[in-house]
Amino acid sequence: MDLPILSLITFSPLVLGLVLLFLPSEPVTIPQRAAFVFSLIPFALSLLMLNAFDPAVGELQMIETVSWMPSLGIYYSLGVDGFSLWLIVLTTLLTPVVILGSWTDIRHRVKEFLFFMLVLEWGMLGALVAVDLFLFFMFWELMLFPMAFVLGIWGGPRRYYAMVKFVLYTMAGSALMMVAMLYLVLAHAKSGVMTFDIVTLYDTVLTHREETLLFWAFALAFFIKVPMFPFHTWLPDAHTEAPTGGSVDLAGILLKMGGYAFLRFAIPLFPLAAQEAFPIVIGLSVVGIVYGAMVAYPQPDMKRLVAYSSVSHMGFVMLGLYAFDVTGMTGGILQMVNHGLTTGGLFLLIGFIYDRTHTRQIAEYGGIWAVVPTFSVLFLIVTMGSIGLPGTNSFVGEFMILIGMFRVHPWAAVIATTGVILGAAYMLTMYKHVVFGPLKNPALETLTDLSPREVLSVLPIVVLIFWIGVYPKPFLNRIEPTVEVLLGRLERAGATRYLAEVAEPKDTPRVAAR
Amino acid sequence: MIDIGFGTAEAWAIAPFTIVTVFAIGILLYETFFPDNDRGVELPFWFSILGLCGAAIASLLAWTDGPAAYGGTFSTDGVAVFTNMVCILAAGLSLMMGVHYMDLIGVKAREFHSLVLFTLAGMMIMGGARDLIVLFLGIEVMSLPAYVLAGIRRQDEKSGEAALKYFLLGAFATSFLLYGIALLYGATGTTAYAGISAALGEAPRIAVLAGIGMLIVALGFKVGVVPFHFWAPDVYQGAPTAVTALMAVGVKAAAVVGTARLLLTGLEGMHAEWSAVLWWLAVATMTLGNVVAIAQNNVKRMPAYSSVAHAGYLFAAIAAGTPRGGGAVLFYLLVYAFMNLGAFAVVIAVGRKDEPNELLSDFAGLGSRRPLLGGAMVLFLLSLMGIPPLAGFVGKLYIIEALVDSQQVWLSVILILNSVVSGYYYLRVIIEMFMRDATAEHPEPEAQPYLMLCVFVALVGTVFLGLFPDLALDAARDSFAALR
Repeated sequence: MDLPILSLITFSPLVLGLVLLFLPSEPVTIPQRAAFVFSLIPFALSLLMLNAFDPAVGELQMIETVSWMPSLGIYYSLGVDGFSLWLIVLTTLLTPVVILGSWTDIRHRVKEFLFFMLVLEWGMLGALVAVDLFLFFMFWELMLFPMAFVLGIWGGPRRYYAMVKFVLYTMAGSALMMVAMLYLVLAHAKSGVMTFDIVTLYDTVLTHREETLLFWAFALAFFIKVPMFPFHTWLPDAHTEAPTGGSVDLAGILLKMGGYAFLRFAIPLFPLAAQEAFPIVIGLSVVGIVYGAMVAYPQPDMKRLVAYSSVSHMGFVMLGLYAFDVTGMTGGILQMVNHGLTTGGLFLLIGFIYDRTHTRQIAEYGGIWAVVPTFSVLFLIVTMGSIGLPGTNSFVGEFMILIGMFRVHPWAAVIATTGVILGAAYMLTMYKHVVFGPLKNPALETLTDLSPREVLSVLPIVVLIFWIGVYPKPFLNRIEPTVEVLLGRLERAGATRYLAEVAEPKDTPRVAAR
Repeated sequence: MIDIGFGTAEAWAIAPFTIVTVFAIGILLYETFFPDNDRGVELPFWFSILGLCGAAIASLLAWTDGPAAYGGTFSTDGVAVFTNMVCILAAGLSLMMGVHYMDLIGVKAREFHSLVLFTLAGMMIMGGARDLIVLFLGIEVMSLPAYVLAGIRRQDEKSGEAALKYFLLGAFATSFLLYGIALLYGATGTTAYAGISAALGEAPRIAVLAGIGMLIVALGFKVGVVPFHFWAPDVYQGAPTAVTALMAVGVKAAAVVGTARLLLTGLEGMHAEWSAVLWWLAVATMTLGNVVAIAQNNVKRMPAYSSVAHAGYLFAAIAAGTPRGGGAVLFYLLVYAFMNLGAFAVVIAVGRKDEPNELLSDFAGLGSRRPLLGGAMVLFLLSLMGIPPLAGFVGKLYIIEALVDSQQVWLSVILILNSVVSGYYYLRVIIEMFMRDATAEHPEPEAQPYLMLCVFVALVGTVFLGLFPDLALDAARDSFAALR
């Protein structure tokens, strides 16, 4: 158990990525095969971590701490708990999937692409395991750039625009967070200890005004990443221009960082302000759910449609995280994983078909069910997973979110439910127009079905869609204790206004400030 | 009257810049006695590096927290030693850049070397100045060789224009400086910082305020702060790139430290007044610098405006008005020296003979043509942008920490938003290098070992100070905390 497993998971992609740079780039199969094998190593390590993870413990575990910059109180400190566990596994799983899925999509500068994919994995894993605010911020900014390079080098025709928008949008958000972070650390330093350690910072004494301002500075950065309506405009551009691999990582993991950071930082650091923001966050989530769904419906481009559906689905996730109820929050965290799987799967499959036809316009498809049966079946399964059909993963997540929300704020749950209906409408309409109907376009008659490599890359996603859908218990078991710890922390802080458990006695006096 | 004797303390205090001056004169004498013995550029280069090493060692040995030399007017405390190190580093890297480059543009290397050493001596005097007259002396010793350096390409019109502009405006700034010194002297009866600080209470307020204003104008000119920055873009563009690099880093570092020491020790009692002025100067400087940099297509003009913006960050740290702010200034200067000189070195490396590459499009495809050079440039640019875990990020973090600590939250927000804006133009260079294909024919680059050494040193500094800033950070912080 003394093995620094989290460090190994986090840094193996970087080290292996650097090794990759020294391999010959021709023929392309050499770096491709090497990168695929390399990417299995962090995945295997994350399974070891999963095995060593104690489901009964809600606090951070497997903590590794080394002093890094003592004059600023910065530690190299890693840990994992129920919030990050599954996202780490998802990250390490999606990287080999993406590498397999991009086998033919990326045609030039293949080795560099694979290098950036591994570096991106490093950045994302680092942000997930960091329990030092500085370390987190470092990885948070760091993961921006491999993604920006992927977008800028291998993207579509408007890639520079999409890339600059993506980078500046995210940087603007994290800029305020950086100031807030330092303010928080210095406020804590008044008690004598200067530290960036997140668990110590949870107990910082702040005035009400300070807490509110700091919360919003953090929240803005996370809103942009989620992305919450109205900060979502970078997402459709980034998705549409990104190559398949970039889209999968973006939707699969990068977007989860926003929600995850809410749980790890914004809510426990500023419990009162986080609770007071309830109406705004819930309002924006609900608007995002309905708006995203309505804008997704008429999109002519498949990728853009899925991008807008992400806005809607991430609204659901935020709704769950903000339910302040064990069921709702657990559902929200599970739904982050679910969304990563289904949306990642959708982008992969859209990428495969785009590879063959070089168009993503829904109108140019139709009637390909008989031509490419394997593709159509897998596409159907992932579509159903995205809609949330009972028996698939999203059903479990969305159901738990709605139950959790209904206990606290029924009206929000009711409006959000329309998002489920709209979701079925746009996804099924897309599926119908692409797969069913008459085969109008003669070019489609010669489509080749998915290769074994392509099937293999989607397979883990399909298996997990059903597994989580049918037997989610092992997943939920490991999330719940951490949620309870967080809710206990909120209650101790006096942030009980919207807590589901104490919602009944309405006349409980509210504690204004700690 | 100040009692000026000459003892061991004095000998140590002047040792660093005396060594530099002796080496500079040595190079000139060599030129005089062996005018035709053209043994290439390497001899004077290594001779100069020897001088720099000697000066660095002398500064470290002279380091004392005891009473200042020359009756308290000149000291070799932590601030002075740190400044010396930054300036020696800047001079050393500029010389490395110059080895091949000066030959390329047809300038006699020895002139270049001796002038760089002379201007370095001035910077060192500024770093240790604890008296307005010594400060004046430092500025002049630093500036006169710098004027010549700007015009060192005599045949080139732009270089001449740069030198003339720099000289005329510099002379103008000097008159402001002298007027400010006169006013402060009239009001307080002394030119020593300690004496000024003690006499501030009873001094006539108007005269003191006017004096401070004049001094800030003069020093702001040397640093290149808006609205006294107009010379900077033209001079930076016109001067040979190696000289530009020295001016953007070394000259600026000395002037910033001179300002910080003056304001934080001599005029600390007037903190509320000058801090408000600096607040506005800092905001105007970083905002204008960044916004105008966006519109530039010239790879020397763009860093010129970007360095104006960085001057704004430094002034913001001074505006914090605390030792912590002073420490942040010193640390940022060190970081800035590495990353900015590295970027300038890459600009030179991309350049061609007779046709100095200065358009942004000349960088197209650099990432695939010369991946290592391109990769290094990316790291320099990301560090200038302030992206972790590179040195520029820690530098900015420390400035912001100092600002938040002294309740200047708004200034820190403006600063950090400015670095987002700066991201736009740094990204443009990265896009050019890695995401576009080369538009023109690029000949095989010549071997430039010294230039590559310069890039390498700058790269090591940029990465190392980002990952392990502690030692330098502590030194910077302690040196300002020990002042007063």
